[in-house]
Amino acid sequence: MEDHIIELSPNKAFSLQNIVKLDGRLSAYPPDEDGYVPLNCYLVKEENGAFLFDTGYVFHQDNILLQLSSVLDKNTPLSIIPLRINEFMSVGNAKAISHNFNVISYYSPHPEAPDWFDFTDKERDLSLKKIPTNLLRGTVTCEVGEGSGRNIQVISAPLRLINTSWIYDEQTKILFSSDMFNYGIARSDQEEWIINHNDPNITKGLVRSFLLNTRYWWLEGAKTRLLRENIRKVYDSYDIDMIAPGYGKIFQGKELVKQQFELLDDILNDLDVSNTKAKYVPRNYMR
Amino acid sequence: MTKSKLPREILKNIFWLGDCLEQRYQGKIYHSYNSSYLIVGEHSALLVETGHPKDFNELHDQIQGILSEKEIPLKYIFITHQETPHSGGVGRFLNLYPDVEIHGDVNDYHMAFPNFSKNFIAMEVGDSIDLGGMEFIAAEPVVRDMRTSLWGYVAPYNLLFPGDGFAYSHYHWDGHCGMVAEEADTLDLFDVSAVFAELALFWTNFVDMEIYTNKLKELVKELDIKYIAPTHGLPILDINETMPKVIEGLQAPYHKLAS
Repeated sequence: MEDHIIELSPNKAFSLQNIVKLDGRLSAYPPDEDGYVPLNCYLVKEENGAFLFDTGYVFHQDNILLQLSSVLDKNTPLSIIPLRINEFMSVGNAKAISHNFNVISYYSPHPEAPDWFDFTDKERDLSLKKIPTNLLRGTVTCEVGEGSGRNIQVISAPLRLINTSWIYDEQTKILFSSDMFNYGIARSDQEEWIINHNDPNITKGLVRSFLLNTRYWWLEGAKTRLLRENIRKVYDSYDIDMIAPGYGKIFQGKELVKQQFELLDDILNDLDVSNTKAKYVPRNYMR
Repeated sequence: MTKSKLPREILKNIFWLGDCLEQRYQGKIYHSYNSSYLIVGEHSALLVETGHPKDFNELHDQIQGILSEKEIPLKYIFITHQETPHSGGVGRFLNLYPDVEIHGDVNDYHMAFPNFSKNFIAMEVGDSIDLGGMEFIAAEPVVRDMRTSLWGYVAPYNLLFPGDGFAYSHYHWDGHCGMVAEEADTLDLFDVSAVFAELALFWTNFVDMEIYTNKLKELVKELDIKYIAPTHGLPILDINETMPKVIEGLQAPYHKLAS
């Protein structure tokens, strides 16, 4: 197996990680943040079928293809779900993976998924349009491998900036949370990439600041009640053992998962218009 | 894809480019634009946005047609933010024009287009690019779609490029494709602005947008903006007539939720 692959559930779910040092050039992180984070693509698989959630940046293309080939037979039918169809991190290698693996379908909020990701080479490959695109509307249930009985649920992210999906895998009890719960940052590139106990560095202040300094600047003084309700519905609907974010460390264990949801709820409550005055937030305003 | 009604010269030497994108909402098919704009100065041309990935060939044909006639080189591209419908075409342009400089907020591009990382040049609010007789200046992005969004305007026209700000669809069935906002007289700007905000600007559902629209008015006043060239809406050539309706639409999702 290639480096930086974490087997989240034996032969069932894998994180394909590429570690980056933060230097102010990644839009998913505050511009003044340093440290190291993994960029995570996830593979869930059965004998006769697999799904890939996000395809990574082109910068990591060679490694991602190697990682994928070390955990997936090239003939296994593979479906690709970019969790944010409009972001480079989600779609960067969709084309390369389609050329190198047995990709049988895409899932996207828009018809004709290749129209949204086929821009990484000099020319388009219109043959990719022969691979069907399944539309994501509301909650969509997919079976991993025909006849396996193992379902994943693709849901619209209850808190998002752009069009974003979260995915819950019923069998492994993993919630794939895309660009939420991304604040697990390491001080070195040698740390464990899964947190399975309470990390004293992850405080309410840190997470609040992280949210406001990244893609959730608008939460201060927003009406967060409905957001909180929808996030709580996700937590109450699914039996979650692990949170697997698109960026950052993975959170493992029911208690730790519960803590992250409670922390988020607490922060959103503080930021609600009933507790915090709304104000205009200029670009690059840090707090 | 429909056959495009663009390019169209909306002001002298400023061309509206691109093509429509279908958007389905509550059983209706709306059209929206994924526009680019070409600013042709006396010695350099600058492209604002690189269009939807699907439109590259059409967009490139439009640009070539204009620049070959003007005999002015494409030297700069400005991108409002990192979403692929705005910046996905960058790699294709750089393959064809390897010396073009890409300006804007440059987060993520070194990872998305690693072969061209040296072409990306960071801009901040107030930074400018001289095109000869016209200047492109970066501006505060009041309505952002990403943390890293950046707007710009071109002087002396004082034409604002607000990216996803002023985003609204139009009625293909009423022949609005290729029209500026003031020509599309059957377009319910409040309705289409509200629909777009609800669908594509999730955060505006939860935030009292009056705070942001007041800032928008301040910006327009401060920079003496006279025209607006949005990426997704029809260009606005009469701010006094059109801007209030778009602003009302931008505020609508929050008011709907609040009620």
